[in-house]
This record gives sequence, structure tokens and C-alpha cells, in this order.
Amino acid sequence: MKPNVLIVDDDDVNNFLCRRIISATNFSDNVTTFINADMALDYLESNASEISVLPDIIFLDINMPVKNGWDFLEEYKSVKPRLKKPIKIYMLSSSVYPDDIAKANNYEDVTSYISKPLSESILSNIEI
Amino acid sequence: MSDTFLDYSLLFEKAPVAMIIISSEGLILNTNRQAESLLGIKKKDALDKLLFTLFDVSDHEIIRKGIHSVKQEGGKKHPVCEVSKYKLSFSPLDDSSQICYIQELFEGKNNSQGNLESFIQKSPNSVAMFDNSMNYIVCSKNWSLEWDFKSKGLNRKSIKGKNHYSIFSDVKEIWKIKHQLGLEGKTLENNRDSFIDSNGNLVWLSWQIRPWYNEKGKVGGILLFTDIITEKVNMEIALKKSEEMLNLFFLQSLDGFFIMEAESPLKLNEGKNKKKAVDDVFNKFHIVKLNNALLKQYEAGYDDMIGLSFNDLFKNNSKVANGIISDLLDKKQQIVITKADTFKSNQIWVEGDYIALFNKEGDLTAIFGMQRDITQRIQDELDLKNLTEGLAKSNTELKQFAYITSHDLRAPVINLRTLISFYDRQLIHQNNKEVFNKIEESVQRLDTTLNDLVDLVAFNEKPHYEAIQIDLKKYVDEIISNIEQEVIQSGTIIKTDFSKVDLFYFSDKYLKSILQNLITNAVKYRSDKRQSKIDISAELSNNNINIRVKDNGIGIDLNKYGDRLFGLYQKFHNGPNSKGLGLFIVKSHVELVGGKIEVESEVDVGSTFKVILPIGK
Repeated sequence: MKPNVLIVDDDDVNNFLCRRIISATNFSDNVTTFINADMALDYLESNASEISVLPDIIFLDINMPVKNGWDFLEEYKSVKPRLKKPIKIYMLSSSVYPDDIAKANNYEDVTSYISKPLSESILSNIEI
Repeated sequence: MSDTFLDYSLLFEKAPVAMIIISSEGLILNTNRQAESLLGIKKKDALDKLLFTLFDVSDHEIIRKGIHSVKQEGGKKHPVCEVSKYKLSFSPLDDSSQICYIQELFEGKNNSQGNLESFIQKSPNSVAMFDNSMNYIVCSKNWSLEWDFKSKGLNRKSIKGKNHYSIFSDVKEIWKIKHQLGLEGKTLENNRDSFIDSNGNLVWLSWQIRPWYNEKGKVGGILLFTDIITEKVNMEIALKKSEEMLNLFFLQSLDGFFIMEAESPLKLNEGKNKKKAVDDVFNKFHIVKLNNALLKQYEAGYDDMIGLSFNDLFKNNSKVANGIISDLLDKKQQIVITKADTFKSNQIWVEGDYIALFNKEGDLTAIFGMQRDITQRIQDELDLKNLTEGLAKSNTELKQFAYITSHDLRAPVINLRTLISFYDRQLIHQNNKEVFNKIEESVQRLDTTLNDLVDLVAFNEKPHYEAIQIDLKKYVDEIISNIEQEVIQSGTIIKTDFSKVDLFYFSDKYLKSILQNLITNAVKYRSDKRQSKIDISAELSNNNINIRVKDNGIGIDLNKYGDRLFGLYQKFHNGPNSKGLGLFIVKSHVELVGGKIEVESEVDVGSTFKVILPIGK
């Protein structure tokens, strides 16, 4: 089974490229992208019971306007119990600030930190 | 008046025995000098008074009886009566008058000559007893030493009966007169006399000459007391001098000084409540001495401050004043930094050192205070603190700015790089191929520069010492393979020799950055005139690893650029790839891990960079 992928990043170009690499590597057939955190959280809420719709993997950017990646993670805590499916969250950021990486590792819900760009080799290391 | 009467009068006046002539009723008719000095009276005051009024009330009756019995017996009886301090003997003079001899009882009735002698013999002081002709009767040991009997071939025994003036022929006339006065019944003394001894030294002494009386109540001779007090006097002089100096210090010091005292020492009995004791100090202790520096501190005049209490010094800070006194009463010496108000209502900071002085009974006798005006120092500290805080704030802001900038720039650059990798080159029209290659080249450069900047911004604060095991041969080979294309294109030959190095542990991030930059530079700044050769070698020494990167490139004119070599954005070559960051990064990373970098270079011959890096065990 290929995973459902959700990408949350305000950078449209990044989302375009992620789609391209995911389809090029045949990693997933179901990629959803949102350019802000609220839309993504709404999407999760409204599909909380839809196992076939819910993502298996979220690629989450850190620096976004209004609500950033950390805000998303805080709110996700209250959404998570209603979700009918476990989701792996990967922070996907161009940040190389050590504090960001350390902070990401402190979140229980974060599986790992990935430095942009998303590449074939990174995708091949993701376990489904 | 006949001469006889005059003689009689003179004899009476100068007699060494105290005598008072009274009427048969006991009224005083005349007194002599000796009586005046013995009883402490004056002739004019005593005349016409009753004799017994000169003595204690308890003696009146016995004296009255004495006078009466002479009168009654008509001169057949010479009564003697002893009163509290004196022995009075009466004898008739004529029908209507009698003479009263008064003799001081010599310190109790037992004080016979024999007792006196044995007392002197044993005295620790310097004492000698002479008879009426200044012949020795007895002397103390110290006397014999002080007068150096030995030099005259005498001792305390053989001196007996010998005349003082015959033995010591150099006794001065003035002393002979003084001795004579003693023999006349006078007591003379001087507690602080001095003379120059035969060695020319100033000698201080205290002395006393007093008569002693025989059993008949007559002067039997004199006692001489001397005490050499040179040492004591010198000490007193020194003490006075140091007191003067202390006083001078007190007055002239730049620190404010004060002494507080109360009218009497403050009892600090246990059980007395502490608050009461502190209040007592506030109420009873006042400044009795202060110096100009203190007045200057408080912008006050002498009259403003003398008599102030401790809490007056800290008017708007009674809590501090309370605390200081409370601690002083617990015998804790205090150094306190606090605010105070001056008499011109300015606020000052003072550093005070206060000491409580207690007497043997544990009562508080004085409070000594030393206060320094540290307003300027506190102000400087505050300024410095504000400056530091301001700097820290702008530093944080700067870091944040650099972070955001690098992040925001990096995101689109990554996108560009990835976009280019997706671009299908097959479809590029021949005309656009060169343009596209230049775009790619530019993006590549932008990416490298940005990565360098990110390295600086993100890692330049604290070394992330996550050391990994390093196999230098593999490590360097990997770095070379990353720039393989440029190496091959330029025909550079890279030789490595790591035979002298075992595995070691080091920070991956820093070592990679350092070596990558050095090797890339060596390739980049090759000479067109010859085949490019790079030698990389390493050795261990002490706890360091020394890595050497040697090239035969264009070299650097160290005389010209030496001091700027490792500076930020310093370029020494005109080339498209030179961006002036590489060596700056190398140097800052080498220094961050506690290492050193050295360079040797000759223009058109080549450069050798050597980094010395401390390695963990």
C-alpha cells in the first residue's frame, strides 16, 4: 500500500516540487497540499474518521505566516485523539538552525526532521 | 619686742613639727607652717576657732578632754591623745595658753622603724632609707642596682651607716636641698622627671622624698623612692604619636569616618528584647567625632552632623539602619552598600563598614563607622549593565535577522536548484543552452555562498561537539569525490598520506567544513603554468592532529595580504569562484574547536596551510 501524503507549506513552489518528486519516485498516488496550517487542521478534523482519506505521512514546514509548524503541532495534539489512523509527521524545512532541529526532536508527534529539498533518497528511507 | 621673741617666733614657724598654740579654752592662737601643711589648713582661717573643729567630729570629745586635763592639772600632766589619724600631745606654755604638738600616725600604729626597714628590704621598687645625716639605714635590691653599688665595691649590707653624699660625690646640689626639705618633714615628689645619664641618654624617672618618723614622733630621716620609667614614657610618647597619626588619618582620609558614643555604656542583658536594644542605640548613641570626608558625602556642615544618631544617617532607609545595628549587636561586623540622602536632598550610594565596640562587661561603648561614597561606581556599573543588556539585545536581534534572512533566502534557492534538476535539457533550444548553463552556474554559486553564510550564522556560537570516529583517509577521499568533476577537468593530481594517523574522534561538521574549504581552495587557485599538484598529509602530536594541505598554485603575497588573509570577504584573486568567505570560515571553525591555522605561501610557487586541531581521547 502506498501512503497518503499531506504537505503543509506556504511555499507553493516547494509543494509543486514535492509532488513532482513523489510522483516521479512513485512514492504515493495521493498527495494533498495546503499552504497554511489552519486549512490542513480543518482537513484532518473533517476527515477524522475517513481512514482512506486521512494521510499516513505529513510533511510539515516550520516557517509559515499566521500559524507556523510549531503552532500546527500544538493544535494537532487535540485533533490527534479523534483521528482513526496513526500519522507520521516529518518536519520539512529549509531551516538549518540547530535549535529548530533540536525542538523538532522534542515533539513526540514528530518522527524526524528533514532538511529541504525532499529527495529520492530521503523518500526511500521513509518506512511506511 | 625683744630679739628673743623674734627668735622664738621664727623657731616656732619653721619647726619641723606641727604645732598649734591654743588658749586654755581651746581657741587657736597661732599655727606653724608644718601644722598648716599637715592638716591642710590656712593660718588666717584657723585663728580664733576651737582646736577640735580642725578634726573629725568623732575626735572632738577626746581633744576637749586633753585640753581640759592640762588646764586642771596646772601643767603637771602632759596628756597625749590619739585621734583617727593623728597623735596630739599637749603641754602648757604659760597660765593662759598651751601648745599642742600634732604628729601624723604613720600608716597605722604598727609602723615602727623595724617594720619599715623590712618593708624596704623586700620592696620590688627602688627605695632607700636614710637617717637624719643621710647615712644609709637600708635599701632595696633595685636601689643597689640602679646606683651601681658594685662599682664602688659595696653591697646592700656594707652600705649600712655610710653617707650617701660621700659615696656618690656627684650628687647634685639641687638634690641635696630636696633631701634637706625631706628631713624638715616635707614630702616632695615628681612623677615625670628627666635627666641625662653619664652615657648621654635621656632617662625618665619618677621620684618621691618623704620623711619617716621615729617612736618619739620626730623625723628620723628620709625615704627615697625612685622609679626609672624611661621605657614607659617612651611608650607613652609613641602611643601619643600613633594616636596623633590615627587622628590625622581619621581627619584626612577620603573615606568618611564617624564615632558614636552614648553618655554611658549600653547594657545588653540577655532577655532584653532586641527591638528595644536597637531603639536604645538609635536614641542614645550620637556622633561625637567625624571627619570632613563624611561631611562632604552628606553635603553637610559640622553642626549639621555632630550629635546625629545612626538612623539619622539613613533617614529614608530605616530598614537598613535597623538591620545594621541589629547585626552589630549580634557582634557581626557589617559591610553594607546602601542608599542615603544628603543634606541637599541628593541621593548617594555608600559602602559602609561598621564596628561595634564593647567593654569587658559586654556593654556597647561605641560604634565606629567608615563610609565610602560609591555613587559613581554604582552609576558606572548600572551604565555597564545597561550597555551589556543593549548589546545582548541587539546581538540577539542581529542573530534573528541573520537566521531569518538565511532561511528565507535558502528556501527559494533550494527550489531553484531542484527546479533546474527537473528541467528537461533535451528540449532546450541550442540558442538557450548557454543561457541555461549560466543560470545553473549562478544558482550553484548562490547555493554555495548561502550555505557558507548559514554555516557562519547557525554554528558560530557554540561548538557542537558531537564527535564521530574519523578515518581520515576515507574522510578526505569523500571530500575529494564531491569535487571530482573540477579535479578531473583541471587535471589536478591529489596525493594523500595518512600513514602516521590512526582513527580519531572529531566534530564531523567542523572538520568537513575546514577540509572542504582548504582542498577546494587548493584546486581553485591552481596555476595555469604547470600541472596542479596537491599533497595532503597529517600527523599526530601530543593531543593534536596536524593536517597539511600543500599546493603548487598561484600563491598569495603574504607581505601584502598576510594580515587580511583570514578576514571576512577578503579576496586576493580575480576569479569567478572567489567569494572571499572560505578562509574566514576555516579560521573561525578552527578557532571554535580550539585549534590553530598556519600558512606559508610564495607567489607563483604555491601555498601550504596547516591546521592544528585538538582531538579528544
